[in-house]
Amino acid sequence: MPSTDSAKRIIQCLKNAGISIVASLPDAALVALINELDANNDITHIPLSREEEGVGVCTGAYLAGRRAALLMQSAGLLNSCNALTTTALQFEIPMILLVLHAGAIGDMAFPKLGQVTEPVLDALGIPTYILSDLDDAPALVGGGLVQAYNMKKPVAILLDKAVL
Amino acid sequence: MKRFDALKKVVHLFNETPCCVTVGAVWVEWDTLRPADQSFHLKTLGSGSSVGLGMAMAIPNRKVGILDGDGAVTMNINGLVTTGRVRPKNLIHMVFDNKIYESSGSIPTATAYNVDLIKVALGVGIKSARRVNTIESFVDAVENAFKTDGPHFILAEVEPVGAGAPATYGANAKRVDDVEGKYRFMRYLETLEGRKIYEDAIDVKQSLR
Repeated sequence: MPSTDSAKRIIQCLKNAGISIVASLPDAALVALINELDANNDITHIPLSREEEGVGVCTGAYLAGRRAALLMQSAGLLNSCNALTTTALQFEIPMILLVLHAGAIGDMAFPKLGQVTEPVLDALGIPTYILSDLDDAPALVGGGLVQAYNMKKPVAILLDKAVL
Repeated sequence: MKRFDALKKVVHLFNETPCCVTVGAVWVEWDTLRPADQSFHLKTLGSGSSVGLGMAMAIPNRKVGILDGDGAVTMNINGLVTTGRVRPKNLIHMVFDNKIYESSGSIPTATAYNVDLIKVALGVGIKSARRVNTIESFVDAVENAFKTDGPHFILAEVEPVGAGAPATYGANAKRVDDVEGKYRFMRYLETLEGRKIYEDAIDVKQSLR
């Protein structure tokens, strides 16, 4: 079961990185994170109806001076590929993609997604890190954001179910 | 109504309003009427409602404009769904409905058949949704959008530009690289807002807690 403690720690990492807008679409494993986002007054939570919108939302937020992240399952990452390419990469927009790594080891629900997620990110040229130990979260979220702004592109953090 | 004629009558209202402009001839028309730096020029068809929404949420005390088309809106109906859920008060979403994908070969869009975008907007919870088909009613709708809380959805039924495109197209609209256009837009917003908008990696690194 997703844990509230893990969710609080990850949200704290986003806050410490100065991320103030998070767009999201749920997965069962992301419920605690999304509830925690809604309860948090420092972060504007924008619940989406399809993930590709989130690339646009994060872009709009960035253009107006806010640091933004998009929280979704890996199926949503696939839904977002056009906007990632023709908006985020085209205009060099930094953002953090927090992606539940469905179909990764230990998750039997979406084996096909598990196989294509990393190759798709690689093809897009989006730097990708895997969060498999919660103690690494501050370094990956903070460092990932610095890298996103330095490279001027999205950076993906794949969330193993184990950390949630 | 011709879109270019309609835009001419409202452009002065947008003097301090950043805009997101969809892919197509509306780009050129809007940039002919006001400095291109005051708009973000989209590349992903349909992304206007989403980029505009993110911008509106980021600067809630300033109106944000979206210049959109029927083909773009029907490609990303989700943007309306989220707008109806989040309801940013400062968003002015103008959709110019010519019922065709004019910039990509003039094939009919869904609005040429059975789609009623006003019903869609109202149905997803955007309470201010108005259809206009004269310049006077368009000006009235835009004026109202500046005076009252939104989100506002204005569906302007327009003629295709066709072969009658103004000869001035492009005369004032200097083409810039997409990334340069982004920076120009952010610098424009900095001037408008009177604060730092653009951050580089050092800014971000130094701010980490």
